[in-house]
Amino acid sequence: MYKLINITTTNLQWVQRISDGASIPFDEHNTDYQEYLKWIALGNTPQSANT
Amino acid sequence: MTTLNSVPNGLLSTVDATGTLTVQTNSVNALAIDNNQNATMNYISAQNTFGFKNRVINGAMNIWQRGTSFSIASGSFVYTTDRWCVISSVTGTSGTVSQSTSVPTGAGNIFPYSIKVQRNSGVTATGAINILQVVESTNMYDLAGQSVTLSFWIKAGANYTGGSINPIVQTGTVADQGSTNFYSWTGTTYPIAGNNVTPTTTWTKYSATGTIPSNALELGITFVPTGFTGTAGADDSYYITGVQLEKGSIATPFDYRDYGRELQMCQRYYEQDAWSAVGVNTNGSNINWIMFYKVPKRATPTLSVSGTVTFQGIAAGISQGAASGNINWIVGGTSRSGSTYQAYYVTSDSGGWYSSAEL
Repeated sequence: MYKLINITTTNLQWVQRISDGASIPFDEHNTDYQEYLKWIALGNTPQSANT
Repeated sequence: MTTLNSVPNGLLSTVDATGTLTVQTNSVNALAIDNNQNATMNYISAQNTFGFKNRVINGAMNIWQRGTSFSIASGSFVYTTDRWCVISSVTGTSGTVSQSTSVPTGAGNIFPYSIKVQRNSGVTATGAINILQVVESTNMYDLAGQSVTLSFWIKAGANYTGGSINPIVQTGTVADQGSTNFYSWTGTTYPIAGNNVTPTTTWTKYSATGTIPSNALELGITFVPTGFTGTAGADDSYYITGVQLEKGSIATPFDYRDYGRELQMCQRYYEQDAWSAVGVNTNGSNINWIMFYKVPKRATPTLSVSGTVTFQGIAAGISQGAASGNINWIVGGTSRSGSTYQAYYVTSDSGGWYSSAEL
């Protein structure tokens, strides 16, 4: 399970892995982001971004 | 060509029309020196090697940034000693990987630690615990089409039941598919596999040679036991250190690298530290701070945080953190009022931050 994070004050966006709170960047070379993309490809939807 | 000397056992020295001296051993050219005194040798084996020939990082099990003991649950990829990942098929949380001071002894062996891979005492679940390291693609491209040699030291614990261990070099045809996809890489081949060794309670060095496919774009090394059996005793473990993968068809002495450089090589993939910095209040309530990595990461890393931070006497919870770019990251603290853009310094902290750009 994942959640999109959007911090407007710092203009930072990332994906939060809910199981451990880790912040995953939108970087296709990051293996955690690759896992997130595979999760999306399976038809899953992340929790919506906060602001 | 003029023969200078020829004796039994394939020893031969010759000189050709250009003045090049050639020496053969076992009927194979071993050394050639041209008329400009340039020497070409097949291999050089010496205690003080030229360095950086080993494509394995932390092969001497010297760097343990994440800790020195790890519980291993079935089915999860767990990074342990730096750059080494573990995957278990033993049901439950039945394994432990830890730092061991048991190492080979004798001249030329410079390994400070070994990695101990254990099925916990009393566990009846069977299966295997593999260790693996994926070499970053940019550090293996030149191996394509080349002979490589994997060498390592291994021993068994007093109660080891895991059977023979298969040292494997695996390649694929897509760059950097990583460790969690290791068993489903595209275009998988096994240039080294099936050279099973059965560890004993005495440290022993083994090696195996293979040829990397010319289209290989990624490479990993793994050690795969046959599988634990029965009920685990007190030391149902195997120990490994001195892992080296190098060009060529013979195992040369281990490539010694000093601690500082080996640590830097590891920190390209993982880095952690305690909270210690100056923060800036950016909006009247949150404190953000930037920390620069000691070593730029392979990719923008995944960031985890823990603990608490106190800014000049006022506690600030750690709300969020994220990597930004490849050399710094920002974390927002909370519960801090004050003037916007005022700087505060950390007066106490616990926990820290953990950045991973592992493969």
